[in-house]
Amino acid sequence: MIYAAWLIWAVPIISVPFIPLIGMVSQRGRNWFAVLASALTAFIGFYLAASFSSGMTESSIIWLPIFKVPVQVLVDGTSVLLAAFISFLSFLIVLYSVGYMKGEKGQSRYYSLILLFVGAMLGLVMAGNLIQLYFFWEIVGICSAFLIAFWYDKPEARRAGLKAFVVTRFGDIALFIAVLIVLANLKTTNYASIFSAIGSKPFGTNTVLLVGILLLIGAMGKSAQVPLHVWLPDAMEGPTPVSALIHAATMVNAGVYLVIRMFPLFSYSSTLLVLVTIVGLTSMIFGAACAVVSEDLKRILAYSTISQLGIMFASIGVGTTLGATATYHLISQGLFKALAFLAAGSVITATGSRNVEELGGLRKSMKYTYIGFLFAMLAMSGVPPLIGFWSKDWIVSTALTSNVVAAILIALSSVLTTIYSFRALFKVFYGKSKLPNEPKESSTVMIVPIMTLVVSVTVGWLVLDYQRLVPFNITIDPLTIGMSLAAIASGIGIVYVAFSSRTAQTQSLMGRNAPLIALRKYLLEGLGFDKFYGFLYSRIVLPLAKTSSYLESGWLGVNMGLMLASVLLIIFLVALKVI
Amino acid sequence: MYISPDQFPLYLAGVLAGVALTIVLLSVTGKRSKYIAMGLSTAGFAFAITFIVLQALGYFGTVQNNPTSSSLFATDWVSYIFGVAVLLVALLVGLTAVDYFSDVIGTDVTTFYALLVFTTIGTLLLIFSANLLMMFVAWEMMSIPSYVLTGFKKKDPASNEAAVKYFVISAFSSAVLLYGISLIYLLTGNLSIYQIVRLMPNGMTVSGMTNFQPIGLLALTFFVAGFGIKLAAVPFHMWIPDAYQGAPTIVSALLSTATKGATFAPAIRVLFVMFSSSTFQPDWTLTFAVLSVLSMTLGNFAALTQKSVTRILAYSSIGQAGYILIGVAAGGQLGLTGSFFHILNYATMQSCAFLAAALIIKNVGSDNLDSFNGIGKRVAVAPMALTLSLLALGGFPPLSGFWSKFVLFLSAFQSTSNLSWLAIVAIINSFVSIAFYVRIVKHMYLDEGNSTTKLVETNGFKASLILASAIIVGTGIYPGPLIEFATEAARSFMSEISSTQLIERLAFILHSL
Repeated sequence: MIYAAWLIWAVPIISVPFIPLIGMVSQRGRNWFAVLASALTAFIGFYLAASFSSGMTESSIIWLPIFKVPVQVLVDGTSVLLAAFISFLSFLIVLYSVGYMKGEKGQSRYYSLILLFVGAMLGLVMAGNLIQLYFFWEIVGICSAFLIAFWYDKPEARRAGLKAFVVTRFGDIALFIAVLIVLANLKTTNYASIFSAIGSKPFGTNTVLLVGILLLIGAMGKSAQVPLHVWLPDAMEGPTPVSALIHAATMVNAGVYLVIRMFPLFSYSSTLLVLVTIVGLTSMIFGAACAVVSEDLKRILAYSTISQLGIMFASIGVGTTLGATATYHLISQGLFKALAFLAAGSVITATGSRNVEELGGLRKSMKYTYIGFLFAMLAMSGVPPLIGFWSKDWIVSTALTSNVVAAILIALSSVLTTIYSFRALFKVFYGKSKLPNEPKESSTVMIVPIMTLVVSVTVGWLVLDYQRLVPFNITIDPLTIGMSLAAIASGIGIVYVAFSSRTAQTQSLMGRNAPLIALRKYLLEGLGFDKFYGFLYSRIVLPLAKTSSYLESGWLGVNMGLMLASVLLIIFLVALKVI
Repeated sequence: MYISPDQFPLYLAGVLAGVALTIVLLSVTGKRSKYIAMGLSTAGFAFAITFIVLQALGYFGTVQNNPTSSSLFATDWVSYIFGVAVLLVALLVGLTAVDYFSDVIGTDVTTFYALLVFTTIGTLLLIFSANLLMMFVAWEMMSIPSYVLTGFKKKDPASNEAAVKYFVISAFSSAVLLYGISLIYLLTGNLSIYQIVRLMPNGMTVSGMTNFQPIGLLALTFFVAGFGIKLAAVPFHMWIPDAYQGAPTIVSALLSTATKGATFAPAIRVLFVMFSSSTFQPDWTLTFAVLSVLSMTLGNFAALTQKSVTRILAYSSIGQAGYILIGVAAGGQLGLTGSFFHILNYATMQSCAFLAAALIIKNVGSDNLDSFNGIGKRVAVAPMALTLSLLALGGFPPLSGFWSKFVLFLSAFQSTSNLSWLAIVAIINSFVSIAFYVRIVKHMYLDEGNSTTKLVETNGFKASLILASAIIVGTGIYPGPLIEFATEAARSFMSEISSTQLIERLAFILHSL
């Protein structure tokens, strides 16, 4: 069983170099090899989940003897469950890619990066210490940047790739500093050792607080929480399967996983938990508000991811269930978001457009895609008995017992969630088609993953309830169900009125009302975070950079003079000290 | 076969000198001689590497000598790892020279190889030297051929200008260094680094001075300035961008790694042995922390706005010197391990970057960033190697630079002198540096170029770049052995001055009474 825990991330990583090699011989062979590799990974994932009994097992190989850093796999309920989930979802997405990427250039690059991406994410989840986690964390970051910029002929794609790369680095620095502080204080970064040291001498309250804040910043960068979220909406420039992978299976989950994994550290200090909650709630509301106005189908989904991840952070911060609620919602979000992206990708391949205003009436011509998207949106809004209902209402129920404000905010955000979900659904699949030609349904290889996910979204909660890896014991109290059903009903009501029965009145209201116009404009710009960062760069970093190179005038005389001056200055300082 | 460790460097230098003289003789024989010169020098470097490795493994008897005797040389782990790094860089550069100069008018590549071997000999002796006079002679042996190498493109004004600038500044550094040495001699009447340390704190000087501190500090300042110029640490860095840009790019690879890296060996011997007494150490710990911050910040920020790839690499070299100095400032076994390890990695990363850039610059005829546009589609190995080495310089796992930076930053956190602020500044700097490293990658792979004609990659360049990339990736995936070597070097250093120091000092005092 323990071998499976090593193999699950080794298999995709080892198969990376074979992709270009096989690609030289046969294009088809290469694509199916990638599918096979990810299928094998998924199989190992399920085997791991099936053979896992209980408790926590570690297995390690010495890697850096000096710092006693081993390569380590940690097998416990959370890691096994997430590994199985990630490998399953990745398999579906790779399969879908075969259809989606048909006829694209640079597919060897695509499949090698995807496999490396998945392998690194699985390595991150299975890692038994923080150094190893950081190692894979960075690889995940690099792969995502390259994948986002996959269509490098498009300037927006290049910009988005660089942006993802740079913005997530902010979080990475914080995580790196946290790892170093832990290592410097405890001489180990093994999770169990960290948790047992919490509170004792070299790892006292202040250090824990500092490390916790740094870890949180790291998680915010990867999981696109406000204010480090700016890369995620732009990351939509990548191929849609990549978006699905980033949003559902890999990248953004890394941050949440970090916080879940380090929960004993976070729960040590109530300040930390409050911070996690605040970050989560802010992102939840921000993401949902931006998703309501966005006109790009994929951006709507991106903002919704920010919002859903915010819910996970908030549920960890509420802190009653040791992060189990967040784990559940992570899987639930992964499933319905992957479904939404795959369906959206199918729409985009068929119509060539991502703008919801240009689409419409696809319900009849793309039946399977429509079913997929419908189920995704129903699950996202939390309509029972789909998986989203269980995960979200469980979060609200647990929050009600400890943090009523958070619970009410999460329940209220359901209204916004329902609005943006159904707005997208109505605009794309209902109404009159605005397209010149009738779009055709996508190929079977794309429909199979979509339908698999429809089934997963519908019955996934049963599987999650009966698995033994992480005992969820979901309890949802009736008050919560009432609240969320009311939220969904009012959301659907608003959408129906605004976008279906009284479209004209809505448009005239939006056109006349100055505050609404302004609000919409700001939300479309993402509340000006991008502008702010641009300002920081042009006003602080660039002038500093220019000043730094002034010293090199290129004149030998000036250089010599400056050098003499520095020697004299050092002598002077030394002399001052002596006297 | 037994070789006395005291004489080991002489054997090493002797073999290489034989190679160099053969190459000089070859240069009169005719046109084909450049290939023979390349073969000879490559074989010579490879032999020297093997020789050092065998010595380090104890095949020739004693592994390390006792430099506290009046030996001219310190044959220890520091010398071994620096020696191998320098020889490796020389080997990489040597592999590319024939191709690089193939269409430069007015150059004789055979002479280039002779000079390359000569400067390598000087560098090796500098690494091994345990005596200030030997150190100075080796310093000059290293520098003089490198001036000629810098100006090797005779018809190119930029190359000539770079050579003159390098020469003037380097002469200044030699002068300052020599002045420092003379002051030490004035104080102690001795030139052997490992003996001076025992004379220093007692104030027992030949000239009868009782307070050695002012002059000692002055000497220390001169050493810092002299080494600082070769190390390209701010504020002694102004010559670097011009010199590296003007010099033939493969020579920049040599200067920025072999020459610079090798300077760390005597610098660390002077600081951690000669000035290791508690009278001096607090002074230079802070000095080096400040130099480190200045170098990192200035190097990385100045690189942000540069338009030329060689200048970006030059500034990156200044920034990297800053990282290496963290270990010197943090001190202790971990700090030195970090410094040594980072120098090793830096040598392969930076030389790989310069060599890959050399191939591209030679082909497109300009080192402007815009002329690198779309290179990724025109040639395979060079942009890949450049990308790998740049990402490694930026400290990305799973590449070699990540681990050495990791050790360095950790050493600052664990340092007894409370240098956490230094580590945090360094990490932020490391983040800033990503911007310009990735910028080059972006130009190569993402931007659309004017031309799509394929470029020729000659075998020499390919071999060199693939070897360097393999080392970068290999070290990144399994850094264990190299860290072990670096630790071994640091340990041999620390024990020399900490545990046995007191006893030896006492013995010396008794003896001199």
